[in-house]
Amino acid sequence: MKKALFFLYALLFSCTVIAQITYKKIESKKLNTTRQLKIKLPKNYDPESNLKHPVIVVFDGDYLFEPVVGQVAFQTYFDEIPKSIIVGIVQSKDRNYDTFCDEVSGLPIETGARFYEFIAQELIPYIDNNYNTSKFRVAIGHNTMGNFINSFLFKAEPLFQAYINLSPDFKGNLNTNLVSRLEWLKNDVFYYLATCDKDIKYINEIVHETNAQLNTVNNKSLTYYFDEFKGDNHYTMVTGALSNAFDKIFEIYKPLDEKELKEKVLTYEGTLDVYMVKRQKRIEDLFGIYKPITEEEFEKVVNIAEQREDLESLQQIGKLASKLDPESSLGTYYLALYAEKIGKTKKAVKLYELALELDMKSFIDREMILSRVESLKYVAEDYQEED
Amino acid sequence: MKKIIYSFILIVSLQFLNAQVIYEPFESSKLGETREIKIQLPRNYDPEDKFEYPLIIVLDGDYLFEPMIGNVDYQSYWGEMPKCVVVGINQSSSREDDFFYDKEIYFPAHNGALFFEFLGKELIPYIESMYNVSEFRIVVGHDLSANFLNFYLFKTLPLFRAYVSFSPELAPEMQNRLHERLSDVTTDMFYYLATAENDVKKLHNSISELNTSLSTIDNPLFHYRYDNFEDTNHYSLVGLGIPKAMNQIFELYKPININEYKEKVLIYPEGPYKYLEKKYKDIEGFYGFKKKVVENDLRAIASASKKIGDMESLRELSKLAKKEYPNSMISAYYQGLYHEYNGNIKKAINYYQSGLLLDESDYIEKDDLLDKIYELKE
Repeated sequence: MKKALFFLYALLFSCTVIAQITYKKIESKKLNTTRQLKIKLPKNYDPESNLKHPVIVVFDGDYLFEPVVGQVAFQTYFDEIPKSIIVGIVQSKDRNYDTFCDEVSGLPIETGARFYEFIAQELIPYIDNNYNTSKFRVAIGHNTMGNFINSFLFKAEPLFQAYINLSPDFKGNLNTNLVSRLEWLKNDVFYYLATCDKDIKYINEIVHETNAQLNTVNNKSLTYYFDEFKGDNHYTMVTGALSNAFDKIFEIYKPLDEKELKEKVLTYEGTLDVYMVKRQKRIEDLFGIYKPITEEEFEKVVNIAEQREDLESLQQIGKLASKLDPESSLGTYYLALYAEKIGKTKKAVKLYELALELDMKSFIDREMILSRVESLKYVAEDYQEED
Repeated sequence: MKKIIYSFILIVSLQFLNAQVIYEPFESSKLGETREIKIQLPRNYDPEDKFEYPLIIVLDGDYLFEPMIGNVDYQSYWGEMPKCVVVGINQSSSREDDFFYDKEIYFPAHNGALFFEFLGKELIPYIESMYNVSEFRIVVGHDLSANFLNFYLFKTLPLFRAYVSFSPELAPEMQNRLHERLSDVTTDMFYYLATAENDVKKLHNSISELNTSLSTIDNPLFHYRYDNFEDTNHYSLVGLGIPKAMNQIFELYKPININEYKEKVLIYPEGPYKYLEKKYKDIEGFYGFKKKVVENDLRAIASASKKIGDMESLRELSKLAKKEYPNSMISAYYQGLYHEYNGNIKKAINYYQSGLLLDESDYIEKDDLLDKIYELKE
């Protein structure tokens, strides 16, 4: 491990309670100096686990790291976004060197180019080697660091998959080059851009100009969002923008909500288990993480199936739930429901009884199943008597 | 001037190591049990310092505390609000009990009454005994806790000066009671209320009714802001609401911006320095805690004094700079500046030189002083 990281030497500053922020120093050959990092791991992070986490890199970590940590903690609490690893880079007085760029292209040169290489060739490999990271990376930059993060997009395979540009101070003709670059993008990229009505005037103007051009980009690989905050200035707009940006970037990661159920699930052509599997696959492809389908989600989809009078979906969802978690009674329960609905009463009773033996989950009422079984048994007996 | 005020200056604060959250079990005799408390002190908090910080109490601290401290740290870094002591109370396992109110009279009862007292009679006195906090207190809540925090308003002397209520699940009668109470508050009160387009429907409707009612209140001491966020739900409204609430509460506190400079500082009849004096006196009167004069404002006043040729204002300013920042280049710079513009070049050079050994500030570095010295020596 150490050999693989021969160019890096990290010093642990303080590592106290879990969920606290860790301060580390990283020695950089590219920069020929040490840099201060702030790192926040997800709550209950387990290095032995197979669970992978997106990485959020925060430039100007001196002041931008803490609000990102706060916002991520909040959205993670409600499982609106995946548990992520947040890395802040303290730049303080090096900022002017780090952002040094060509006047015409706006791309990093000299000290700026070295900082770029530090990120791409030292920092990211270091994080990937030391933590359970997924392939999904987010870059956050404000002001001139907003300009800087765009330079990663000009590589054939961009280092970051999501870019949060907070009132970026675009240099040279970087913004116009960016627009033409995004036309030809092959990998999926999220691009979030924000300004505010009380922003620094020339920044507000150039951001609007860029927004107008970005709106004309017609490329399925690009997901683009823009915000202009009212009543905020260059600084106060940042935290609200972070909230919106995470909300949008991780939109498809969120638990199924009313809107999706109504607009997408209800109208889906095909059985609903396919919808759920595809949804899960999309999350995995995009964020590099496997997200289990929750019981609440299964329950919601089953309700929709009932609403559509779609017995086939009910059966398939039952099979899917049993396959994904054989220990749980959920799938068996749905299969029982299916058997009951198509009139296979005996089979239904068996399945209900089987469900009762399996691990009972919170929202299925044990009493309800029991009474259902009882009434079905009578029905079955009645049939037998008639026979 | 515009360039000066808007120039992007990074405040160098390398001592962030003590910015960790303190997790503490708090034994409450009122509740007869132990509660998890989270405390975040300002960066570089010094217990010996006499400075008093506003206190922010965060209910539902399990999930509301982190975004709150993130915002406070960020906004105060840029001087948009003061540094604060933030205290969160974890309630995930007890929130239904804690926020219980009587189903006939709609005021806290049973466990709810105990929790009400715990906050006012145990927790806050404890925080006051441990840390330098001012009497300017803010309370923040979401959903059930956002309803509960309103009960504190009905005391004769309310415990909090600012109430931040994110998508409250309002108790019956709350709307009428709030309207009546807030119409005749006798001290400045801040009230922030937020909902969202995709909020829980029932909540959204009652909150928007409450807003209609509160909007009609005509009381200059009642400071009110309401937001209904687009394309946002019951949870995502919090991230947007926190900065709006803080900006509303601390509007008067903010550094001088370009509009204030043009519309107020330049035309103040008694001169720019007197304006500064008044501004800081107002802040103290309004919030009940002192604000240290920030460098941004010194620059604005110096610039205005130069522009209108008010030497007396510049002289007063240099005295203030010396008093507020004795060990910083700031004091030397403004004294030098005064003498330079007053035509006393020799004295000016002396002052600029005396600053070379002092600490650099956000705006003034060694090179700035050297530039001044070379310029004057030519």
